[in-house]
Amino acid sequence: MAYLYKLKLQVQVYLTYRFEVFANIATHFILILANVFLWNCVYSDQKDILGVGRGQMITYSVLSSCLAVMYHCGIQSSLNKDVREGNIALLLMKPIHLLGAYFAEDVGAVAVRAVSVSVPIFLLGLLFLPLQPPVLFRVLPLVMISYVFGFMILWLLSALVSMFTFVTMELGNMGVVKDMIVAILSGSMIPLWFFPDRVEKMLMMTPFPYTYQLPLGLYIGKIDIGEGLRQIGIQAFWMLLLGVCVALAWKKAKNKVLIQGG
Amino acid sequence: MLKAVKHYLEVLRYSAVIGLKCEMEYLSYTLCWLLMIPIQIFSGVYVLKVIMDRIGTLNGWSFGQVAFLYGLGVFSHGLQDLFFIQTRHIEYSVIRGEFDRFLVRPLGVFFQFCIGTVNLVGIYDLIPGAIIFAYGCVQVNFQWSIPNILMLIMVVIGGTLIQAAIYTLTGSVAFWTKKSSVFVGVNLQLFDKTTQWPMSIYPNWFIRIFSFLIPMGFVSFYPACGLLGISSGVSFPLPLEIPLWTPLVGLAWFLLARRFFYLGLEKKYESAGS
Repeated sequence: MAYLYKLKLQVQVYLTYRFEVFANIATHFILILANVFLWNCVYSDQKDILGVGRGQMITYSVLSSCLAVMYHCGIQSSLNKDVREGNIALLLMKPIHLLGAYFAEDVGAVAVRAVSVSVPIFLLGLLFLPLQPPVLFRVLPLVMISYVFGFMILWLLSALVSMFTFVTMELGNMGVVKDMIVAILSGSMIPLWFFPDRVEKMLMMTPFPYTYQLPLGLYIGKIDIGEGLRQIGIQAFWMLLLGVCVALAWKKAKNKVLIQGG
Repeated sequence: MLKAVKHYLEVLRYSAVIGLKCEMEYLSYTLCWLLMIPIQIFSGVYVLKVIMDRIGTLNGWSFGQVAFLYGLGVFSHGLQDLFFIQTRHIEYSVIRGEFDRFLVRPLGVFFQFCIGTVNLVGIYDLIPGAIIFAYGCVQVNFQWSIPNILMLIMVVIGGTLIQAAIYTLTGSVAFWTKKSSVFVGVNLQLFDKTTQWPMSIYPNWFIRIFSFLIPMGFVSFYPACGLLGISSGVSFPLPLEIPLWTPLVGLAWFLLARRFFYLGLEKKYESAGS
């Protein structure tokens, strides 16, 4: 119940700043537009590149921006702040699992961002951009599952990176470094099939492509159902592995807590 | 006049030394930036390369030309980071009432505010930027004649002023609304898309908005067109591809932004905070 309360609180915080909600939609839309123009230009002479047509690619790019909004991992900044300001001591005394509380907060933030930004952008895209519905409606449940798993992978990665705070006190921009790496290696900017074969094969061995490329590829039909199921299996593997790492790191980190401030 | 300039430069020097010391204090922080910025800049250009490998040219731009443009854009971004990073955080200073301190000192508030932090992270931008720019120069066979070098310097200075002006203008909205940080992220991304991608890929109305309403096109797109002899494809009574537009537009917008900043400070600033 405590976690649900945390979740609800986060939703309320976000909705307080209504100006930001609208500004967010407008600005995201302009940036998406710029991406759409780039792909339009890329496809001006070609009908399809590597088996993906213009409409599919634009859909990929617009949805990638929607996904980015919903892949929110606030734990990075919250944990860093709580350690730096010394709140961590009090938080650890509370009768809840702290990681669970951070998770609940982030799920709340994701829900509100999905409704307030991703859905409006998606609808605007359907109205004004050549955004396509999924090739097969049957894949939608798979898209959803791979999104949820993708979120878990990213969240666990963020949690793991955040644990550095306990050691260094100042996380610096480790989180941003992680975000940057994810942005490039996950196929969120351009799908990995654009890369040379060797690079693509190597990247498929990392957890990153399973966050963006998998749900998006499924949606536009580049990844078929069989392949999708196989990759969801790989997602589950990464989730488990990262989960174990986070649990171990958390156990160690808690013993390193140094209280500063008060 | 000369004495005043000397005095200002002296203050700038001290501020730079303090900036350096602050930066060195948190080594892990510095390392993170050192890691992240080159990754970001190189990956940005790599993405374009990967795309262009598949299709050859981007609306008539070869990859060498794109690298030239990209490097030029990164230069003014880096210098803006180095000297004007504060203009991104006007909201914060308004809410915390930080201008009180500046107002009681015998120096221009805007100057003090800008040099408050000389942010060395900007230098980390300049290095990868220089590498990409050098690559572009070799590819397009850029002539290093005296006029060209002078024009490049003017363009980089002008581009820096344009960037600083836009951050100042959007940031100063906080004097009225107490909130303007939303614009910072958007500005960053818009600058990426207008100064590092050739704007020829956009439809005409889009280019016009980002040239005449918001002068981002003058940071690197028009001057790169001029220096490389490419048509910008924008019809306008005056030739926009003359690189000297950039310093002129930059200076005009910078003075305008400074005026707007003072307008907010004098009319609306209420020393909030403690």
